[in-house]
Order: sequence, then C-alpha cells, then structure tokens
Amino acid sequence: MSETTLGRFQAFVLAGIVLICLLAPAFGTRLVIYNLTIIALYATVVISLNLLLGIAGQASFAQTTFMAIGGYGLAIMTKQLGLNPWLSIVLSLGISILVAVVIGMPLLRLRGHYLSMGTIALALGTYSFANASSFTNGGWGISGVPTLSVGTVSFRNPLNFYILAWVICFVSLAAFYLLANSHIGRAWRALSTRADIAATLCIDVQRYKLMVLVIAASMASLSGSFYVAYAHFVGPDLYDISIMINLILMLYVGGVRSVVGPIIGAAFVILVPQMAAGLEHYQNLIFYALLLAVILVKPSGLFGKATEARGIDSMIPLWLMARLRTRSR
Amino acid sequence: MLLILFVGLATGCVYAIVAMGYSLEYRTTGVVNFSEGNYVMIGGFSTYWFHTYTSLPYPLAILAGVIVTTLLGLILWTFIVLPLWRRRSPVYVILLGTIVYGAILGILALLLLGSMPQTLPPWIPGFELDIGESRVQGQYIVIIAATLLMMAAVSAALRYTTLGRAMRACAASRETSELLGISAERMGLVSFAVTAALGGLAGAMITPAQFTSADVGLSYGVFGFVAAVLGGFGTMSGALVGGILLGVVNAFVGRYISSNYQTVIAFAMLLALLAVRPQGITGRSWEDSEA
Amino acid sequence: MKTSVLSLASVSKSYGGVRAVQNVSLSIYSGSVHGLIGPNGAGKSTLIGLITGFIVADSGQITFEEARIDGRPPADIAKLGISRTFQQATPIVGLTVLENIMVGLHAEYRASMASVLFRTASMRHEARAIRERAERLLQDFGLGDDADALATDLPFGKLRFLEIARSVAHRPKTLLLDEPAAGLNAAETERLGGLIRNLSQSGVGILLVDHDVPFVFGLCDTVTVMNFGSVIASGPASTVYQESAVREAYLGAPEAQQEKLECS
Repeated sequence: MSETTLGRFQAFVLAGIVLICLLAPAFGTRLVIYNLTIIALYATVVISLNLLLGIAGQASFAQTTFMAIGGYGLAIMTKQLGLNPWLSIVLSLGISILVAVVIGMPLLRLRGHYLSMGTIALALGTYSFANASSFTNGGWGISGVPTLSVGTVSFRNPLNFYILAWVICFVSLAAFYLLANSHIGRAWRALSTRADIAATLCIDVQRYKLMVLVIAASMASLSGSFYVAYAHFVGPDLYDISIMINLILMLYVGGVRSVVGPIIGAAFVILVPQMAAGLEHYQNLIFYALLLAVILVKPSGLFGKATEARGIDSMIPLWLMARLRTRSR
Repeated sequence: MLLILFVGLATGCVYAIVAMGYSLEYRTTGVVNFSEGNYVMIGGFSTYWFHTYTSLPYPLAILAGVIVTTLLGLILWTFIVLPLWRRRSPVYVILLGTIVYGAILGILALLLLGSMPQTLPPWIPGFELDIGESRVQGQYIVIIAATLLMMAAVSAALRYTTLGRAMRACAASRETSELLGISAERMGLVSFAVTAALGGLAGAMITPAQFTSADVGLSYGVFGFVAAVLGGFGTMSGALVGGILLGVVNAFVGRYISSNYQTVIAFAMLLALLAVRPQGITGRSWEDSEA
Repeated sequence: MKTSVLSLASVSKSYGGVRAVQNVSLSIYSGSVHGLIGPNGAGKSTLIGLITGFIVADSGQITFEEARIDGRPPADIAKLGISRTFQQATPIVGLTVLENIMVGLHAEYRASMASVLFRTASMRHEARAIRERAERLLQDFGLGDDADALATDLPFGKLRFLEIARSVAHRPKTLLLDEPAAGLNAAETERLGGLIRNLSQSGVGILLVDHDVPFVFGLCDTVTVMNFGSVIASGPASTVYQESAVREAYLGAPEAQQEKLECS
C-alpha cells in the first residue's frame, strides 16, 4: 500500500471529519464554527504543502508569500482600486502564479539547502516588506476589507463562510488525492527521490516542478484571499515566521503524504494552544514542548508511515548506551 | 558616519560568529541549526543574571554565561538533533526540531528574565576612542578584536589540531571518517558545543554595546544565517566576509533609511545572490555534502 | 525491426586536468549485446553519463539512429528510446513495486492534468491498460508476488531486477546496464544473463558495463575494454579475450584471474 492511498483507518478518520463538519452548525457554538473555519482555511495551505514538499520533495518554505499576495491583493484591490472582491481574488491568484514562475522557478533550480534558504528568504522578506512598506500600510495592516457575496448570499454570515471554507478544503483534498495517486503524482515521487532517475524515465523535471509549484501557489493564494475576506483585515503578522513554522508543523504532525494529515495537523496546531489559553507564554511553551515530543517519538507524524527506525534506543547517544550496558552487567 | 561604521562592524562581527557557527555545524553534521541566534541572546542574558544576582566577579559571570550557553547547545545536540540524525530523518525534520527548540529557549528566557531589555557594563571600563569627531565606545573595538582572534583560533584549531582534522574529515564524509575510527557523533557534539560557547561569548560581548532582550535571538539567527549564505555557506572566511558586509549594510540602512527596511534589504541581497552566485562571495562550488 | 545504432565517435571529456574519457568510439547495434569493461576510474560511468545527456562531451559526436544526440537534455534522450539503469538500484521511495514499473511507463500516459482531476473515462481506461501492462511485466521478471509491496522493502537482488524492469517498461531501443550483476548471487546472475539474452533477442541493443569478466564475455557479442579513459581493445568477444594487452591491463596474469573467479 503506498503512502497516499486512503487506508481503512484514514477513511474512518475522514468520515469522522465530515461528520463533525456536518454536525457542528447544529450543535456547535460560534467559537467552534470559527475555529473550524480557520482550520479549513489553513488546512488548504497545508494540503498544498503536502503536495509541494511531501509528494514532490521540493523543500520550499515560501507558501506564506503566496498567502500574502492573495490576502493583500484582495485588500488593496478592493479598497484602493474599488474592484469587485471576486475579481480581486482571481487577479491576486494570477499575480501569485506569476511570482511562482518568475521567482519560484529559478529558486527551484537550486538544490537541497539552497532551495530551503532561498525560499525562507523569500518568505521572511515578504513579511518584512509588508511590515515596512507604505503600500501595504506597514504594521497597521488594512482593515475594512469588504464582504464577499454571491447574489443574495452574503458571506458575512459565519455559517455561510464556514461552508465555503470547507468546500474549498475538501475540493483541495480531492485534488491532492487524485493527483497524488495518478501518473503525475508518481512522476513527482520519482522527481523527489532523484531527479536524474526521473529524467531517464522520460519525465520532464522542470515542467513537473513548475506544475507542482503553480498548483501549490494557487492553493495558498486562494486560502490567503479567503482568510482575509473572512477576517476583513490583513496585516503582516498573518505571514510572519511563526506562521511559516506552524504550517510545516501542521503538515508534519498530521503526517507527511497522508491524506487526512493536513486537516488533523491544522486542527492540532490551532486547537491545542487554545486549551492552555490564558496562560499566554506557558501556553506556547507547552505547545512547543508537545511538538518536540511528537518530532522525537513519531518522526513521521501522527498519520505518516514510519520509514525510519524509531526504537527508544536510537534516541540515546552511543556513549550513554555503552555506559548503561556496562553498568547493567 | 564613522560611528555607524563601527557599529556596523561590531554587529557584523556578531553575525560573523553566528555564521561561523552555522558553517561549523553544517560542515560537520549536515544539520542547519536555526536556534543559533538564541545562543547570543542566552549568553548575554545569563551573564547579566550572574552579574546581577550573584556575587561573581564580572569575568567569572561571563564565563558562567558561556557555560550555560554551552550546556544548552549540548542539550540540543544530545536529545534533539542526535536521535533524529541517527535515524536519518529528512532534513526539514531536523530543521524543525532546532527551530522549535529555539522557540522554547526564547520563551523560557522571557519567563525567567522578563521582557525588559538589559545591558551589561563594558569589558574595559572607561575605554573610549576619539575617532574623527565621534567618540566610539571601546566595547566595539573589543568585539572586533575578539572576533578576529576567535576566528583565527578556530581556523587554526581546525587546521592544526587532531580534533580539528577529525572534524574536517567528518565534514567531508561521515561514512569514511566512521571507518577511520572517528566518531561522527562526538564530532557533532564538539561542533555544537563550540558553536554554543562562541555564540554565548558573542552575546556577552555585544550586550554592553547594545541592549539584549528575549527576542533578539531570532534577529541574530536570521541575520547570521543571511551572512553565512552571503559569504558562502560552510566556509569560515565566508562567515567573516558575509558578517561584516551585512553588519555594515544593516547599520547604514538602519541609520539612513529605517530599521524596518533592514530585513527587507538583507533578504533582497540574499535572493539576488542566490540567483547569481549561490555559493556565496567566497564559497567554492562544493556540492551539498550530506555529512 | 530497424537496426538502430547508437554510435560514439571520438568522444572526449575532461574534468580539470583529468581526462575522464579520451577519444572513445564504439557502436551498439539492436539485437546485440556489447560489453564494456575496465578497471574503476576507466571512464565507463562517464561514458554512460555522456550518452544519456547528463554530461556534455568536450568533443566528438554521439549519434542515435543517425541523428546527433549529444548536447540534448536527458529527458529528450530517454524519449528517443535510450534507457539506463544505475549502479545503485534506486527504487522510488514510497511507491509500491507495481507503481515503480508504472513510472517506467510514464511516457505512455497521454492524460492531461484536467482529465486526471475530472476522472474522465479515457483517463481511467488508459490508467487501467497501463496498469495491466505493468503487471504483466512484473510477472515476466518474476516479481509478480511483490506487486503491492513497498519497493524499498525488497531484498537487494529483487531491487536490481525491479530497476531493470522499470528501465525496459516503455520498450526502449537501447538499454545501458551499469553493473547490473554487482552484488547478485550465482543463481541471480544466471537469471540476469537469461534476461539480457531475451531482451537482446527481442531487438533491444544493450550496452553491458560490468566487472564480472566471465559474465561479460559469456554474454556479449562484442566487447570494448577501457583503461584510463581510452579504449585499449575493441571487437568480437572472443578476439578481445585473447589480446595480451587486455589480459595485462585488466584481466591480469592467469593466476590472478583464477583468484578473481574464486572470490566472486
């Protein structure tokens, strides 16, 4: 069974998620609906990361850049240019794709660590630019972003937006599943394993890298736009380094390359800190400590397929092991 | 103007030390440790604590600060990086581990020592130079001198001592050096400890000149990283060149444009460099060594 | 079947001061097996890299079916029908054995991304047909029972066969085998030999690079011997085997050769 198939356990979990989504409006409080909406929006980005990093093996950390383009694009185009919100979302998407091609593709030519470094630089640079520039209204952000509506359906109603967010999320998940389990997904896996091998199997490496980058950028841009449409506000803090870290954590905790992982991971990272709410710094501390525990104990994440040995003895350094052995003799 | 140059050189030296740390650890273990910058913060803060709350004389307080930092580096290596490294976890997992560790350290510092920026007394009291029309704090000179000494010492150690040669062997190939009886794990331990110690010392040095607070760790970590790549990731001379360059540019940008733009310009430089010459200013074109 | 010829004419490649490949010429004909032997560092792997487009030659020509292929990117060369295996059998991580073969058939997929996303009938039909083809291929290679296992779980010998199966899946005209027998036991080596013979009989032109001397000379129609980047002997297998220069440089004195046979 390959990693991206929907095994029985994951299918069960997925059914559970769908059930929760259906029942929440009837039984959940406003906070629950709010949280679930946010989870859906972030999960969409994590799904894109699952495709880009998990399947295609491109260690690109610049998804927040595309989220920012989507978010700021919507805000600036609607407020400063007076464009229709839906049009703004589509135009921002176009800009994201353009940036992905123009900046992203040259970066993807870099190998290994340089790719990570370059994309981290892009992501952090986007944040600092948003913070510093008057074009984006600096640290103040842009508020009063108008609501989305379709005909008479206004998405100001949190329930409507909740549905919209989850529709987007599930559509992205379906796209991920279909692509990952197709010849395209397998080509990406080949590319991820070793690019030379992919080339000798007639796979056009550059084209496939471009494909996955554009898809990932698009998902991130859309998520970014819709988030801002939901919050009616955009600011640099939505795209800073901790968000970038959180995205990777969400992917990781849920299990890289798994199907339900992104949603579970997003839920974990968003909900767990809230459980220790009110303790502010301790809350972050507990959260990070828990994360560290997951990383060390289950290195492939909660739903990932473990490919490395994870016995407890691999956690103890050799010199300590030697000491312990001689002592027990 | 000259003053700005000195400030730039001094902060550049701290960046250079952090950059050197990245390079040292990366060459020996193949791991990029994103909690580097926190060593500077911890060094400064713990020295401050020892100086203020214990009766240790100043030099010993500095030493204590360095020891605390080194211990934290050892903890990172032994309990976080090493288990993942031995399991040959993918690169981004180890990266993630170091980032999370760094975040924890930052929060702990905040909780234990508060959010107020703190400072320390200068190393050589009353040491000030009149250069041109400006009065330059002697501490800046101390930093520059100390950094040059440190880097020379590390380079010499790498080249001439047995331990240094063992580390370089490890950097070249993990498997081969294992076969030669060099414990890659011990080399990793040494590189992490040395990096932490030097970072802590840098923190103790820069705090008298500028304040330190719980959140500078990230900033030093990021700028140190950019400096490392600018100069040539993985090379010692590159760390120095990149650090000084970035420090000076930052100082001037901060003074003449705005401190907000420091990061923007730093990253723009980085992106431009990666597009044109990924191996950095001094870097030779060496392949990614999966140590 | 047309006699496809892969030809190298006076190909050279240097790295810095080191001449990895010097003035090498050889030809591979369809339906025949051409051996390439030589000590480590003789330039064999560089040659494969040159043919498959990963390395660009400094001088000389490489032609395939009378068209020049040197300087073209690897994916293009692969599409022309030149396939290769790697010294280290590298299965694609995370995929099953069957899926690995299906990647080998990548060029056969015509479905666009849109048809994948909308699960069109033609896409499903094509996917099923290719899947069946992959299953048949696995059976031919004796890996039928392992179809659903994760490729990385296979033992070493089977990985080798998977590597070869993957590289012949899309029916290449020419196959470059980079030390396929390394690490295989006697039974596996014999099976490999049979496999190579079958492939060449079906019309594939094969370049066999290996250290196992009896294996190479037992299987190949023609052999090229290299040392220090140059060809030191080339021609029909039996002739080359006799040449003293070859014996000295590579095979060594008869006693040393006996040692070699005992060790393998």
